[in-house]
Amino acid sequence: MIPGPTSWEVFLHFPIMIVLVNLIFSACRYDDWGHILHHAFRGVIYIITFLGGVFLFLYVGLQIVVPWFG
Amino acid sequence: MSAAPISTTRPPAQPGPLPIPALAALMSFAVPGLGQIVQGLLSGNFVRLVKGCIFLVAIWGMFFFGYARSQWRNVYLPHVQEVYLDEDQKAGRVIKSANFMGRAMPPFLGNLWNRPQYIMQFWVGLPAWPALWNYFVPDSPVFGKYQESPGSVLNADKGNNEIFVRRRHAEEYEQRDNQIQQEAGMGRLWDIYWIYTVIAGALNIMVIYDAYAGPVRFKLVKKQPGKEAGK
Repeated sequence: MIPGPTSWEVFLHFPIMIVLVNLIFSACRYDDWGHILHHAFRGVIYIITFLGGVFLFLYVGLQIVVPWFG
Repeated sequence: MSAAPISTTRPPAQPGPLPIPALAALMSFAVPGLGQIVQGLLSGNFVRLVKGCIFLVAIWGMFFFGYARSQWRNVYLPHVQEVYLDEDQKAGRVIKSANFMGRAMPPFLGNLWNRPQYIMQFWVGLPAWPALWNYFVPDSPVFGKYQESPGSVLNADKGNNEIFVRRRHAEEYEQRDNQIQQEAGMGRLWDIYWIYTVIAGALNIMVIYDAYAGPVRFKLVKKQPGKEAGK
């Protein structure tokens, strides 16, 4: 077993990365704050939705479907 | 009272030509956002100036956070391909050394293959370049142990013992890395920290492009009144 923090603590770094990546990506696409912030916000929502969907899929699969099949 | 929503159907304003694009790109390559800061000062574009500052803080912030948290040990370019090449040569095979279609790669390419993180870390600018110096000129320790190259040897050690010295140096470096990963509070975070440095480098590629060519503008399709799309 790998020592160190629990896996949940590792995931705490994801929001920081997602926000910074989207902010910089948006700032590279626009030169006005309205578009930069709007695009960054939308990107954050997209990525969180996608990752959340993957997480839910895996969580439901591991907690419900796999035990159900024994 | 609610804030008016931002209209995304309205195209962004077309900015004028950027001053010193090539020089600004070089500046942003060395120091993220520096090109945008200079362009903002020259053209009086406040947004560009602030953008540059954000690039600088965010990209170097991510890089140094990941680098420092790894105890300053995740940015380097090793000399391990030479050791693997020697092993393979003695055994008459090509297995351990990085190879392409069964042909062993030259040392530099093979070392990049063994440490692909550095391909992206390089783009973060000045703080990642000492690794190249230590890779190519280990005899001149300008940067000391900062980003030292595991497996590097001094000219005095070259000769019959070269591979032995390289292997020992690289193995000692790896052992220390493994020890750090076993420490309380590290574990999988070791990987998260190098991911920070790699993402920072990848983001700076976009920043360099922005300094050279301005914001990435996709072609806007104008709808003509009275005509349906596709006709």
